[in-house]
Parts: sequence; C-alpha cells; structure tokens
Amino acid sequence: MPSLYNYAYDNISKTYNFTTRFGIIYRIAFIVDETFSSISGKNISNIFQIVIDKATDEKEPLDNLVFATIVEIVYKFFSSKRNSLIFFCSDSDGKGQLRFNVFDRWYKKSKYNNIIKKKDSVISISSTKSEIVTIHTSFLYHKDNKDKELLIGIYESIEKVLNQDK
Amino acid sequence: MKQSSINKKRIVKSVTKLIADKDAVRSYMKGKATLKSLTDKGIKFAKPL
Repeated sequence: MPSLYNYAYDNISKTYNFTTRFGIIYRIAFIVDETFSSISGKNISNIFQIVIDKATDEKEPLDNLVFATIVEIVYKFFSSKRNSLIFFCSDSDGKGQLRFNVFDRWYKKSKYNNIIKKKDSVISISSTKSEIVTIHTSFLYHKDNKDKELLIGIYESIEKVLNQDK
Repeated sequence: MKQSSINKKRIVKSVTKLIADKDAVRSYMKGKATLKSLTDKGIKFAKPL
C-alpha cells in the first residue's frame, strides 16, 4: 500500500490534484498573496495563500493518506526557504473552527513541524452584511527564512490592529 | 485621520479580499466558477513546487 497518493499539477485548472482510493478528488491551490505588501507598504514576495478542498461535497471515510499527501505537498513548498503560507478559515458558514482544528491537527502530527513553524491568531472583522465574522488564521514559514522577523511582525500586526478596540 | 485608523482600514480591506479570494477559489474547485472569473478578480495562481 502506498504511503501517499500520487499528485500532479494540472496546467489547465492551475491546481495540484490527487484522487483517493475512494474516488474523491482533492485540489490544492497556491494563490499569490499581496496582503503583507499591502499592510506593510513594502514589496513582500513569496507569500501564498493555500486553499485545500474536495472537488465535490460528498463525505468520505477517514483516510490518513490524504493527510500524508497534503503534508508532503506543503513540505515540498517549503523547499524554498523564502516561501511562506497563510491559511485563513472564515467562520461565515459555521465551519471555520472545524477546518482550523483539522489543519492544526495535521500540523502537529507532521514530522516536519521542526522545520516549518506556525503562528496562529483569531481575528474578527465586519462582513459586507455588517455582521462580525470570526476568522481563524495561521502563518507558516521556514525556520531558516531570513525575513522571518519582519514577516512575523506584519502577521502579528493584523491581529493587534483588528482586535485593539475590544 | 489618524494613522492607526488608516492602517485598520487598510488591513480590513486586505483581509476581506483574502477571504473573498479564498471563497472564490473554493467555488472554482467545485466547478461553480470559471478560471476567468477568478482572473478578472485579480486572483493569481502559482506553481511553487
């Protein structure tokens, strides 16, 4: 039995894809993120948002190979020490906390968490419907990223500024 | 306007876009949106591996 699923980048969909033994298709996208540049006013590159989702809404049995495959993709992403990831889970559909917990569990179980470091924060902002939306966030960076102090400072400023009136 | 107020507006705008972009990409992954609609929103896909 393989230890992870075969994944490949699809040039048409622009996503990394793999199919589980239950026939579930997973897609992983890396989106160029300009949030850090916008907030800091500096030209910050190599920041990406990761989006992980199934192609369909069908439920699947517990499958540890999914975890292993996604962790491997994230690890490969960090083969460039300059790369950093932000992961946002909005609670707008009531599942933000759940998704965040799954991601956190994956991180803690990963054998790479001594190389890839993670910071978490919970922020609240007003949505377009004037409701307060809680957002769970994580920032992942390589332990040897030479800009990590600057990046952590920008990331922490998001929580600090948004939560300062509470 | 105070600098902190400007910073907060800028951060709220950035984070709101971040969330909207993620929702749009998730819709796309499920076949409910086109790649062009994401490109039109300024969403850029990367191939970092």
